[in-house]
Amino acid sequence: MNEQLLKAKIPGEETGIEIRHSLCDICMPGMPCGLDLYVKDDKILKVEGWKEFPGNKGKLCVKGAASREYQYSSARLTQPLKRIGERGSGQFEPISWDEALDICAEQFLKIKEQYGPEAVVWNCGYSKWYRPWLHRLTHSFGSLNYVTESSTCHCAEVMSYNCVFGSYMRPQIPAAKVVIAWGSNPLVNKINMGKNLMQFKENGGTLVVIDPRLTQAAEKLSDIHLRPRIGTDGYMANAMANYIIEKGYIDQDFIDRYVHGFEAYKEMVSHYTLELAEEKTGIPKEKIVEVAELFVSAPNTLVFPGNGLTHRVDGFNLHRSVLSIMVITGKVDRPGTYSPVQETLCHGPGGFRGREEEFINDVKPKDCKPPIGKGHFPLWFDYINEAQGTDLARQLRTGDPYPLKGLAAFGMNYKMFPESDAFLESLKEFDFIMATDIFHTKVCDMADIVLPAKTFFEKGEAKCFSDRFVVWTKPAVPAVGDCRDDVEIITELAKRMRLNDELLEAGYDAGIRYMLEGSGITDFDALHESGEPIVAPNAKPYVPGSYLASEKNTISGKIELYSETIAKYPDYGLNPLPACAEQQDDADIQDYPFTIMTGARISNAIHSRTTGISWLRSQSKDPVIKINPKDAEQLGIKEDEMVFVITEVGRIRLPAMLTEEYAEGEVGMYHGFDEANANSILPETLLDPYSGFPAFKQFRCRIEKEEV
Amino acid sequence: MSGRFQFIPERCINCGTCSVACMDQNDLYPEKGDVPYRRCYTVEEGHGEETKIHYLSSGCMHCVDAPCISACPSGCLYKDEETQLTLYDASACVGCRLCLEACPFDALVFSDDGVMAKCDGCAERVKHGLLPACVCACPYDALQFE
Repeated sequence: MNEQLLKAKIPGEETGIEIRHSLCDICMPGMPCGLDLYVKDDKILKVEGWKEFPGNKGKLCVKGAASREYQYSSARLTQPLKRIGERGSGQFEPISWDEALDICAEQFLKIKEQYGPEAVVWNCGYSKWYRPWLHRLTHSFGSLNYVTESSTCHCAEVMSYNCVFGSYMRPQIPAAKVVIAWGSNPLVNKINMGKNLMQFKENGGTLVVIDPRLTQAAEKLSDIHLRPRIGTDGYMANAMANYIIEKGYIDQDFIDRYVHGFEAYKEMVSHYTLELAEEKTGIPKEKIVEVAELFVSAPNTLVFPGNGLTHRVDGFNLHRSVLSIMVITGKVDRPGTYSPVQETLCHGPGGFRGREEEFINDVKPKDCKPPIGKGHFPLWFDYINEAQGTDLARQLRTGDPYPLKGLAAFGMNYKMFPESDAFLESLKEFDFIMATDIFHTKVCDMADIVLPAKTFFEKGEAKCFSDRFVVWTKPAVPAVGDCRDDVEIITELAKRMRLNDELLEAGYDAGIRYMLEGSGITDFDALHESGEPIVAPNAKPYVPGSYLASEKNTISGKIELYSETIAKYPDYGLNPLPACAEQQDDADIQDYPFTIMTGARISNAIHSRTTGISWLRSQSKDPVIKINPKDAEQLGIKEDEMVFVITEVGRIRLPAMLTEEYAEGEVGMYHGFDEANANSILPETLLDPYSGFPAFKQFRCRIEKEEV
Repeated sequence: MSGRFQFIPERCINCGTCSVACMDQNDLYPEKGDVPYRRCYTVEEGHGEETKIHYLSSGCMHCVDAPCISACPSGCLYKDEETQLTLYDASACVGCRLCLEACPFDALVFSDDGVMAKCDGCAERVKHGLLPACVCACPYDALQFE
């Protein structure tokens, strides 16, 4: 009987299987998903969603469901390693933690002495839970060269919201009557938001999807789906604004009281006629009018822009042009529109003000060389308190404006950067590299010292979420091998480099207590001991209207359609108004006739984090190049046949998938696979001059069938 | 208990969570050649503006009058009285695949040695008041069990 129960993994005394809790950290830093782990003899046998956890309420996405294989993957690093072969050769020998950390501390200090503290780059990839500590370490070390993966993901939309509103904003979907999901497909990859959208529809809401792809959201939930040609949405947004202004649908009183630059904006959008939008987007103007009319049909309607809008050469302005429609119709800080978000800890909103900012900035160096990217993307630094990593490879190769010599690569994913292979190769320019990771990656192969990191299962973690909750879990299972968590590593480095930063050296627990002081929690031991989420005593629900009542964090103090911050940089060719760029990519259209969109989310991947997980890989054929059947027929390509995707900077080889998901002339694929990495053929020169973001969602390519 | 799985296609997006939950529950590993007892599909129909995309999760539905039971010449398949789930004992399986031919859902799988295996509805979990792993996991409640 016991054997049968054990096989079925039934928890209880008979089997010795107990349920322990943890938080999945494969993705979604802002909204944690709780895990129920079926554990026997300290080994995880099965994973489910944490039944009572607010947020995911017992559910997981497919990545969380596969997290047991992630935990016990054979690719896990289990001991500190020292390189003995050539850089990139993958030849290492094991060494002790003490030896490894001493070498790293010594090398970073040596570089600091010889070239200055700015010559060491502190990089943070996924996950994001240790970011405040690494950020503080960078500052305590005397540098601003803290670089994260958000240099290519997320930060541009944060910039856009802040540029327009002086605050990061969140769409209030449940209270809305009409939602326009613009380049947003939350059913895939964001299950909690996906459930909200499904609920919104089931409650009778109207959903418009604007997306060049046939997405799950479009197919399952939309009442109207507009498919603009890739990269033309800006014309639609500005033409809608023009139509709304011409028809007198604007909220003049709101504009008079709260908005800066309306007249200049009105003049700019007046050039975007419906006819022009139809010509550019390929969508009949009647359809555009229909959506504009729906948008103004009630006060509680909103545009829900996807992060992907910013992944183009004019992505920042496209995102801003979409937000501007909300501004001219006064759909701000009112029910069912946008309200401000206050992030408390590691992007998690706890409904109270924590001290993360102080933790990071109290030791910020005053007089040091400019951070990476400052010379090329000045606007970034008005909104983002970190270096812009898309300029890292250039500075590394040229030494302009100063040489970079050392790299601390925490979870660094080179495949997040354009021309990834060249980026990886350029890492050889560093004199010393320390890599910390859960898995043995190609960046690890470039390192001098490799340190094995714990997974989320193996460490405790405090998180704030849903504007009121705080949770602090305990380690659920012992670490595989001799792994340590990233904050332990950061703390040890700080000690060994004698930075005299007491709070940093005091470790994770002390940092959490410091940053969450404003929570009103008095007994952190009890919080940590229980591991259960609680409502923070000081969490206050947002009071609608308080954003509008206060001065906005912009130069004019108002919501800015015309950005005075952008106007500060007349020499960089930036437009304070959200106009469309004339040209996205100068590759010859005859040689490169297809537009490729990369990185549109699939359920079973998050960047490269899960490409080694067979349970997830078995759920789709990716990497594949998705191509419209008509285009495939013209090129003589059949399903599963191998093709080359070619750009001016390289080619990748992968199977074709024939699908109507992409329109004719457009193709798409997910990024980050070793076999075929889309980002390796994305030219590194295609960067948005406002944000520095790569053009992941729009560049030119050619498709060639492999001749056998 | 009727031991019935319900699939609500309107809520399915082929995210694969049910399929992975099945492999996690049953210790099935694709690199060993294992196939999950529940699998997801995307089916496209038509072209251009007329395109319709269907997302499906498919596995044993534990039919009331299960055709696989009568199709099996070796008597491997049977109805569990307590749960009404379609269970099996493959020790007498001869690998004839007549069960698969009879099944409208393509729900029976065969390992390299040719022996049949299938979803047991997580019968033991169900007897202990738990939901089948796939139903428990589905983020959008497209799978239900009663």
